[in-house]
Amino acid sequence: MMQDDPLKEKRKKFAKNLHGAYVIGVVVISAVVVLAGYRSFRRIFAGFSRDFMSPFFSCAVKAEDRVEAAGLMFHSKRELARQLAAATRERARLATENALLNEVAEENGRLRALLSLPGRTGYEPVFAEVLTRSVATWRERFVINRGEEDGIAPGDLVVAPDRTGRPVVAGRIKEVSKHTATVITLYSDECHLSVMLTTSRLCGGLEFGVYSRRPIIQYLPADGTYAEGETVATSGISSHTPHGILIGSVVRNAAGHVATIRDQMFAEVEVKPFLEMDSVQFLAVYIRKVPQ
Amino acid sequence: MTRFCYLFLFTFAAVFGEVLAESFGVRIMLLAPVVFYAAYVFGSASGTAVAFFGGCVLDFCLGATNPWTAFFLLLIVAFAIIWLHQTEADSLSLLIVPGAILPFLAQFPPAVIQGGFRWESILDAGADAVIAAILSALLFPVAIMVLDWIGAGLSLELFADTRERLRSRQRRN
Repeated sequence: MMQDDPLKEKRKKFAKNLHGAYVIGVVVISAVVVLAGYRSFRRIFAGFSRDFMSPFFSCAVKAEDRVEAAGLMFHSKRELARQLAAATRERARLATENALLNEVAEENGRLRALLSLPGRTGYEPVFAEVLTRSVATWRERFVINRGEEDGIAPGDLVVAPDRTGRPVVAGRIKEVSKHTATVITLYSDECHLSVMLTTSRLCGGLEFGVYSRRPIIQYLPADGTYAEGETVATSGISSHTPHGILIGSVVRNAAGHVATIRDQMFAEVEVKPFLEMDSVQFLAVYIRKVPQ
Repeated sequence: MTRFCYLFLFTFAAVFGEVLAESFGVRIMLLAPVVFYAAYVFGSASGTAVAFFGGCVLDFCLGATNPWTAFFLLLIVAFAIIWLHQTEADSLSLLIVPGAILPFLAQFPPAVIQGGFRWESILDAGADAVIAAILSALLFPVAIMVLDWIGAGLSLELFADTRERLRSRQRRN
């Protein structure tokens, strides 16, 4: 019987190893390509699919609005007249307020020009409506029917009217496509905001507390005085957020304390947002206006 | 071409209906039966395409960051192929079983992931999946019948003939 050539055996083994290395190499390269391409794929495909589907969802939203408007026919004439009178009064009040603010803005612009100061960044509201939202993330995120073409950019502040009609913070824009934008609310752990306690004027960072299931203001001074019920508003430090938009009020945590000191350096307080996120339908996005 | 249009239209209708229902706060599963049907009748490639693209569009339209539904819908493709090759009976009433299983494959896992693995989200997703399983078990055979009826009108391959086609292919081989 002939013995196998040891050189041939070696070559066979080498070829086998080479084949194994080749397979592993292909798998590794494919994995790297897939991971690298995933981010681009996600951005492009998400934008494309939302823009493609948005006219169809808009039709559904418009139909819903029409049904709601048609529902007004069931109200009595007296009730409608009362609502109309109230709306007219409110419109007149807002028009007066708007004229006053325009005058102040003009005066501010003139004074800044006299002092040779750069123009103030302005914000303009873009009104939008909720297009879609998922049951699993109902309070955390939703898609609105305005996007890049309306001037919306990631990071922009989103406000909605609370029960009393005041515009209060709902969240911020996370992603935009041409005709839609994704909003992450104060109940999402991806939403971070620079905020201020309106009475003590102390600033901190607001983010969602995973354990407390409430927004928390972190990095407040440890020696500050904090009171239950103190109002929280945007600080305006970020260029995407206007100053002084209401968010919520300070509440006691589960242990009954108003503030918790972390690492003997910072204080943390819990916030109850003014907005009932479950029922948000109409909202406005503050987009940046070019400085005058 | 007819098959592509048929699958495209049904995928579009399923995604549109599912997103619309979710936006009204109702969680119904429409895309999963279409994926099962596509994989069972037209093969795993068609099923995978419907699962991947339909799942991605569904998740992105609902504002999700990652298309987890697309990933879990691929399990339905595998399940449809297993169901085709492993079960012997042709009866429509037996479809109650895959109908009941679909929500646990395609609805429960992405809901838990998107809910952030919290106990309350797991319980919510579990409760939703149980209700969806009961409804799906009852409606899944009807959905298959409707899809087959429309497919017959378009002279496409049918669910009812799939097993026979598979047997004749196996005999030829």
